[in-house]
Amino acid sequence: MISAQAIIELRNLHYTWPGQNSPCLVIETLTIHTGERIFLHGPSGSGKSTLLGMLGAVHTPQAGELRVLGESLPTLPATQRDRFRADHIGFIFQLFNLVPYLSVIDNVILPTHFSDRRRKLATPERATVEAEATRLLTRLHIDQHLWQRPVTTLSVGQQQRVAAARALIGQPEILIADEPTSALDAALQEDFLTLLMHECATAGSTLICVSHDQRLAANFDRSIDLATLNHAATRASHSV
Amino acid sequence: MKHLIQLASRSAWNRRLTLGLTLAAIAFSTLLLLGVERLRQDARENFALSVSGTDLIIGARTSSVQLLLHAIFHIGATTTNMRWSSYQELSTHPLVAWTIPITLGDSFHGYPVLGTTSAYFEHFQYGHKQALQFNTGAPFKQLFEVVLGAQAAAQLQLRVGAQITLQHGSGDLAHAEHADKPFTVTGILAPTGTPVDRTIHIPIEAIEAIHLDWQGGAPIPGVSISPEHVRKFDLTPKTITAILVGLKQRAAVFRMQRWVNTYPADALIGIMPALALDELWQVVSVVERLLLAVSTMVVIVGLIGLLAVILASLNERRRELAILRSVGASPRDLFILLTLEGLGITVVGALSGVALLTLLTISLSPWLQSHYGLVITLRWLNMNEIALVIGIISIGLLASIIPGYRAYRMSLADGLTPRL
Repeated sequence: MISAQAIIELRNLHYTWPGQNSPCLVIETLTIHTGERIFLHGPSGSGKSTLLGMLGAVHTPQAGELRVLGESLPTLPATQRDRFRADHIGFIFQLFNLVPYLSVIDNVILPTHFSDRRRKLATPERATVEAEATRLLTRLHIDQHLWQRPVTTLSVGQQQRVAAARALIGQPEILIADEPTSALDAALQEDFLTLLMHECATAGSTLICVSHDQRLAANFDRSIDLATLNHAATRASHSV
Repeated sequence: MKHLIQLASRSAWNRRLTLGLTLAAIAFSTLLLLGVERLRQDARENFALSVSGTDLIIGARTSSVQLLLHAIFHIGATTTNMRWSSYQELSTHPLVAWTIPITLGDSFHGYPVLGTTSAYFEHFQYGHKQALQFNTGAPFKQLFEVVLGAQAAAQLQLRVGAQITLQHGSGDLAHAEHADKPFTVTGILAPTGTPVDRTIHIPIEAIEAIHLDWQGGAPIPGVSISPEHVRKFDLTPKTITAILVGLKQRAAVFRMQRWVNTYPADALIGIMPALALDELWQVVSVVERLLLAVSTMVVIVGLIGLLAVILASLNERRRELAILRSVGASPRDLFILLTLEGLGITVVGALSGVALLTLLTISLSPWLQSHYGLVITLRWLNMNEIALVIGIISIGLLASIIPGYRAYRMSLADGLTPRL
């Protein structure tokens, strides 16, 4: 991975939630390279969600440098940050990833409505976004008879795979998964991660996976402990 | 924008029960507001078109509104009559072109009976100076003949040549029948959309004739005068209810009115129909404004309900909004999404109200016409009503901005992880 470019660069990053006195996230330096599979772990309260919100261009740090894909996110206006997230980042959450009133297919193609870039990438040679969605769903082992179903009739494992298909559609450069397997059985966890990593590799996406479950770390290229990375968390835990 | 409309409508469909009820509330409140407004306008128009070309209505001294309502609309009653001699003197006044004497009081199956002369069919005008037309038959010539208004004939299923007996008194108080003196239908008038349609017209002498053997509102026991003998009596009425007067020159109306009001031999009042109607509307407008205010309140209550329902759903939808943000929706998109929901429901609700109004107009107008003589015509919304609909939608839009703004704030605060 020596030739790999930095896709995410953090330097002297400070983030304080509005209305609070002390920062909840202080990171001196963090670099993630293109195509890396990162396992980010830490106890609850170590600032995982905050960090993901920042990488996802939802939260803006009060101080420090944050470059994603060469773009300095804190200096972008709010509308452009939303555009940036839509274009370049796919998300998978722990649970309830899907919009309840849309069918499986419509959930998968949702990002292409908000991002022209991902719609174009999902539809090479005048194919439809629906065709790309069915391709991804097939690769993630979602049977055809489920495609037009309301998502509420799906099992949790199926829901997570539909969420993965949605995160992958239109080949975003970065895929962020926040505890994607914690709602799944142990047997399913391994399967899901393998599938997800395989698809990330095919799409060339960098995968950042957050979990408190250390057993999963072995599957990744690199493991980062947020508790040691985040100086705000160490300070807080020392003071307790 | 197109996919936001799609998302908003699919999300709304997902909550169709609560939103449907809210929509129904808005539809019915719109119906109420538009209905009140339309009834008001149509009633005014109806009343205004009921008499035309008559310069003065003259009757025994009473309030002008009362005389107008009684003489033209056959509503209510006057306590005293005017003398026949006054009528005779008025008819020969140099300013007067024509006179129509009328006497009211009896009824036939709830339809008012009006005693008059052939001058009625010659000079009475309604609408925009339209004269009365006969659908079939001709004016009465003999004593016991009758001419029916279009609607009275249709409802009672009477044709020219049919025989009827009149009742004494009017409305629910009508009791005894003038059974011994039947009338023959000689003519049926064409529809006018005015109280004429509900009126039974008989010669003014016939009113006298059927009451010859009556006294104090009941037949005199043992006295019965057959129709053949009636003609031997002097049937010239002693009193009549009112006179409709046409002048040779309209400009003389105030002079004539002064002459009537200061007529020494009889306590008379002369009214100009248009002015008396204005007076009536002034009285009625208080009630109208109250009704409009109440129905406006009902619309506002409906819109507050909408606001409450959308705001209540917002908390349940926090995660949905976070998901939408994670796939690239901006807080502005969420603002639009929520505002569209409220606006959409208001628009559909208001338009449903208009549709309901149309349906009700179609289904209720025959009943309104037969029971109240009120002609409600099916027509497009006029400017006034369009303004009301736009007003409802505008207030709906303003109300919808509130949940939109809350969703906007919420998504800024929550980011991708809703705090539940």
